[in-house]
Amino acid sequence: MTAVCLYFQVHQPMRLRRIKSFQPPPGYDYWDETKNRAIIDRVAEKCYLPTNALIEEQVRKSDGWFRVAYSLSGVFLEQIERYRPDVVESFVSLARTGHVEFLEETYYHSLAGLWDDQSEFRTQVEEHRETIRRLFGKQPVVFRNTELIFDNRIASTVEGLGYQAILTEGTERILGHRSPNHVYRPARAGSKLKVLLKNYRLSDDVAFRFSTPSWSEFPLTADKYAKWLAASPGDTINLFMDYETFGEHQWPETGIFEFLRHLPREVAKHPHLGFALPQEVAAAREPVDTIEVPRAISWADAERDVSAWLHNKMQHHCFEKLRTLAASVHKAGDPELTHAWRLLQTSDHLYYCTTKDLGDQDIHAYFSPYDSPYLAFINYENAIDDLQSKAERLLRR
Amino acid sequence: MKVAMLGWEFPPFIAGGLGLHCLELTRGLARKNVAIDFYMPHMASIEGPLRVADSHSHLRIIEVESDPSMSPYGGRPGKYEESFNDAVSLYNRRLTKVFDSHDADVIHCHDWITVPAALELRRRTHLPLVLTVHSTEFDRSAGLNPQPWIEDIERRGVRGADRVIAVSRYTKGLLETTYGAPPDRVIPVHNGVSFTRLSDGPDRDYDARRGTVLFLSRVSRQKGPLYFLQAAERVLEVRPDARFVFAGEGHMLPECIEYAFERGIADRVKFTGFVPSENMAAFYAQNEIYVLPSVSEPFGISILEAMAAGLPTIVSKTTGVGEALAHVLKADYWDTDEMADMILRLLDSPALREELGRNGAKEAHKFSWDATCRRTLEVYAGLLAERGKGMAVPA
Repeated sequence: MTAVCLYFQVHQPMRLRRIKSFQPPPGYDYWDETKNRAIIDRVAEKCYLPTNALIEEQVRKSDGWFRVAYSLSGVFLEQIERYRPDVVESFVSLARTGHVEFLEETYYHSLAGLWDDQSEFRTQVEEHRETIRRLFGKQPVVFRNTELIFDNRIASTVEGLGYQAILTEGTERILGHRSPNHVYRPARAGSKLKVLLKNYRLSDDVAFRFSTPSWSEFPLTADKYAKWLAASPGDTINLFMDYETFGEHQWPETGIFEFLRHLPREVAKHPHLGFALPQEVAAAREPVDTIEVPRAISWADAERDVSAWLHNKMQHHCFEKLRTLAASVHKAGDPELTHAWRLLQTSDHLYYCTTKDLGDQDIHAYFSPYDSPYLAFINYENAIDDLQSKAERLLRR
Repeated sequence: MKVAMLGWEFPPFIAGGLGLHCLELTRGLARKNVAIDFYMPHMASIEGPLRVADSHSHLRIIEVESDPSMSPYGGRPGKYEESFNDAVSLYNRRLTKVFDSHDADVIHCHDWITVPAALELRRRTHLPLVLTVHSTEFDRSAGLNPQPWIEDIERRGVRGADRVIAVSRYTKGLLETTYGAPPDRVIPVHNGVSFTRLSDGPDRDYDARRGTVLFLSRVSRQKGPLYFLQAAERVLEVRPDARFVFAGEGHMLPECIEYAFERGIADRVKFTGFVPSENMAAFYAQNEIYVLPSVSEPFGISILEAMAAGLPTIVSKTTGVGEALAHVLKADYWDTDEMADMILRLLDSPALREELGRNGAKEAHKFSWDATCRRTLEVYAGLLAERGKGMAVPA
């Protein structure tokens, strides 16, 4: 029996408005309300609502044989609660089927897992846990970090927090010639954490290549894809992708919704395949081997490391500045200040500052609300500086 | 293949970028075995006893005498110098008389100052005409009181030429909207640039605090000097220790100095006057940021020169070269608040200065005259193919 394990990442950052250093915004109002609302509205109509409906229908029709996992960032949930309660409702409805798993992550979709001091990371995980409990009445048992970022230390912290499993990228850098289609565990002696690895070829066939006419396999049908899954040896095929793949990155005209609709039926034609949730794969399978990850990996860019966020000096500067602000922010003890400081930690703000050229720049530009990474940096640092000066003002009182 | 090129100036005796452009273009074409007859006025007063032709062997230079009685090899000063406008019309009239490149495949002329003769020669010889537009009257006047008679010549040129080479997509757009140039006949080809004297970019120390913001350009309305001073004023409100260097001369300099005094920022802005080209490298090395808020800049080689020297650079959105640059900051020329915010952040952040400066230097060095020549040849080839003479063009 080979598990087909689907997990979708759902996240939208809170985009900054244009902040000029000589026109400080009132309070901690750094966010472009109009733009953020417009994006949530657009993606709700194009992706979240139709895809949720389609998936719920497939889950119910198959009595839960078809099942999927979601990781919903806190920043995303905060925005749909504010702008689109109907989207919250549709996720609640999915939760009620009993066959949908919610994964844990940092509330703020941040890089706090890379800080030497892991306490901020833990706090953000707890905030996410609390949010998932409040909205869906569930307690996640599987963890997936921001953009699948993973290293030995993160694994250790996550295991310490009591999670059974963690998801990350199945890159050759950690696997060598081994297959991502098995469960692994961290190399640290005594570790019982299960590591589920993304099968990036089969995942990206859907997420990136689905509508590429120059791809030799174009067009991709559910029938063909199910045959590929059936031909893949191993315990589990982990298909991890952005939820916006459905309807937003791949438009409805590409046939992506028909693909998703037909997938359960086509997979069912192969008796040795069955859908499984990450927590089920973790519970049912023993690690075949260990992985050792001293330097962080992720699912981003060709490098599959953290250079999408921490490559140039501008990115390192902002990352460090936010980290060193921790002491003042905690000391000031103002909940609004703390929340704004954490929202500024959302990884997307750093992603927009990348100057890596090559092919990846196109992907970065596709997701960026700025015309240039330098403008992204200026705006971001203006916000960070303003927060810093406001924190200092509070401390002087 | 042979090109009859109608120009205005040629190194070593040049007043502007046009002569430099013609030198680099003809060199590149000559390397591709294109024969060139280059026509230009014989400006005896700036040249003295030396002839332009003595300095170059890659093309045939025909210096057009102002006086029909003069032998082409005579040395008596002509009359071109009396007034610029008269010189232009005299040169164009004389050009149609002395033109003898009847074995050419193409006539290629530059800017409105050669257009009347070019159109007349096209009519007489039936040779196809290529016009390169380096700048338009709209650019030079910054949209303020353009001279209608020059606009008229430019309009006739871009409509009458068989192909128009615009130095940017920005200029192509201007030609289409202001003169109704047919879009399929206007081809954007960027200039190249050569940086022999300014290339200290990679060694620049970005942690050193120079604290100065540089305007280095001709001081004309086109370059937006007052916008620079307005941005300076805004910066000084928050950062009274900032310093500005205002380098260059031009007809707006008195107005700019007066403005600085009026607004009480004169002690923070240093007016240096004209900068000889051999001093430019030092200006780039000593200053922190380069700002050019041009109202309308067809290309903007000076932007590439500042970038090549490693200076983090802010330019207006209305520049031709800007359309091909990722590693500069761009603002609307009138948006002095935006520019001020960029300047403030650059003054405060070595990380931004370094990323922008280093990547900008690399990017500036990607502009090459080879590419310009290659694309110009493609324009010739397209034109000749249309006329059933495609074989003559070198690859």
